Amino acid sequence: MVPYLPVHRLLEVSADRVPDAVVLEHGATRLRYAELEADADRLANRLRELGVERGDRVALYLDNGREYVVGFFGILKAGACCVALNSANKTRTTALLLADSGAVGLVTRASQVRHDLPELVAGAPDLRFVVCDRAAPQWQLPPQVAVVTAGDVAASPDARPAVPVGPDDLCAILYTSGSTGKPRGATLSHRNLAANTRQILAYLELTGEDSVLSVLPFHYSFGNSLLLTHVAVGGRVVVDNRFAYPATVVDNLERSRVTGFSGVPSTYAILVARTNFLDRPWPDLRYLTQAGGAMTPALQRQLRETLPARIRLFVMYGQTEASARLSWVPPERLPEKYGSIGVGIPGVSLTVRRADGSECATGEVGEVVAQGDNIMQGYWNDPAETALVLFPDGLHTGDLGRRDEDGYIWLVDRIKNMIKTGANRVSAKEVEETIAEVAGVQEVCVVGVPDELLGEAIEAYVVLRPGSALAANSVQQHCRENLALYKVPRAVHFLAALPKNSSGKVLRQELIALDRR
Amino acid sequence: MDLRAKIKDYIVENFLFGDTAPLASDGMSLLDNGIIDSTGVMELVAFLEGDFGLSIADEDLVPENLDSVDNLVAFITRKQAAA
Repeated sequence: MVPYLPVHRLLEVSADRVPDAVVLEHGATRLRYAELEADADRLANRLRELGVERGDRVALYLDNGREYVVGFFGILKAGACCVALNSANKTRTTALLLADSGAVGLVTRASQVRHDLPELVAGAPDLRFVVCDRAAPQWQLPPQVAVVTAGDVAASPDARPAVPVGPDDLCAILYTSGSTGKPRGATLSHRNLAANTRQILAYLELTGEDSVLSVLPFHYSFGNSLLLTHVAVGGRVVVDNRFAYPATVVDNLERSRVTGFSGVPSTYAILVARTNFLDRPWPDLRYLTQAGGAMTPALQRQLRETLPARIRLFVMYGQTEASARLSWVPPERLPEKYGSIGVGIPGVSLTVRRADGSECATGEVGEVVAQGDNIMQGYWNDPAETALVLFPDGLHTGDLGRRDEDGYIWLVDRIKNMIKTGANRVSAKEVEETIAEVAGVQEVCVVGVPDELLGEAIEAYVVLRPGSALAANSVQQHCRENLALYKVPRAVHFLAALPKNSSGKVLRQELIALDRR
Repeated sequence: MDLRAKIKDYIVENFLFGDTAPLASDGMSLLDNGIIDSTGVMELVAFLEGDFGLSIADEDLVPENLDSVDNLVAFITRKQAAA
């Protein structure tokens, strides 16, 4: 097995090498490596004083910013595992995950938890302390829960704590939505995250000169990978939490002179539809990365053909269960592979397998299975769910795909996104890509809705580009011309926006529920 | 219904599902206070384009125009005067 540094050692090495370089930019904040290192050491020492031991879980519940990165690395330096909670979750979900993770502490800020802290704490029996920028007088907490303020942490020593951490110690728990039911916590070891960081660096070829603007939350595996890869090379991360106002982000992208930008498909769809992103010269931009779902081939082509050729577009694929990344399309091959998820990244073996575990022939559809040091240990406290995805041959992704003669993988669908209509299995993705070809369509999601006769009937939800007008029947007509008749949606609905989770993933179940109302 | 009331009504009905309490003041940030998210901003824009017949340019999509009731009232008034 390859030796890996514990994840917080990535920061320590960069802090020793480039102490004065800026690691994080957020609004007027400029945080240097030496400052981040000292702040994280202070927090880690304070956590040790609070009784945190190797293997304990400490939850982090914050938006992207200085406090998040200090919290993340401070928790790891104390030998604990960081439970990175989605800051967009409502109190009920956060309380559930705090309890589920068995976290002994919570790192947050008053503006994040507001008056709900007592409710969060009440549901988490293992919780012993809360680290918060300030204590609000109205919080009535049980006596066993201490509130530690920023002032307390600042008074702690900044000596680098020497807590032994092994490669298979837990580094982070990232909860993933799955498509139904309660979130599952993917448990990622130091080996997992350090391996994936090294694997990503191998193909992105990042150096200390690189920088990225992150609109993706760090508690999301894609956002986390941006943070770790840049910290590993001594690079700079610019945080912008206001993608709701895309024009503001585009201005920031230009002003901050970053060399990279990363987004999920809807990030790029919105940039193209509602900003002048495609028209600016971008003298500093070296690359774009896209993951977190399938971008339509039409949008891939538009980005590739409109932006200057020197800006490399990396189309990638991954899962939280794989730390982040599993595959990439080398940018030079993209024009012949629009729509493919590409090949396994260095250090990841990606195969397409039949239900009996044997490998599929070229062109044959099977499940995509991944092996590598980046694959999670399992779902936290959930052996039953773990057994559904982790097998001796690797992580079963739940995605169906086929391999072409060049070894590139093309996803056909997620296993559960197959629509069964009459006797036919229909890939929602195939219908979506067909509808995306219609002029005026910005985004589309196709679902199977319960139907007495067919089992499921196909319906499409379409978001139009601003200023476009389109009738449902012209969308259906395009489908009828290009697809087998049983694949043509029975109904086409127009929405102002598709319902998405905070990571930008379309919530198909909500669309199906819409139809039932 | 006057402009301000119409906007507040829309926000309460569409993003707060009838609960007026979270919209404590007309000057508060809709985004920072968790009243809308990025999907909500796109819905809000569609509402302004639809119900007010405004044509909203890409560069109009900034918090100074959209991120509070006060900003929205000023923005719509300005747009309508220019139309």
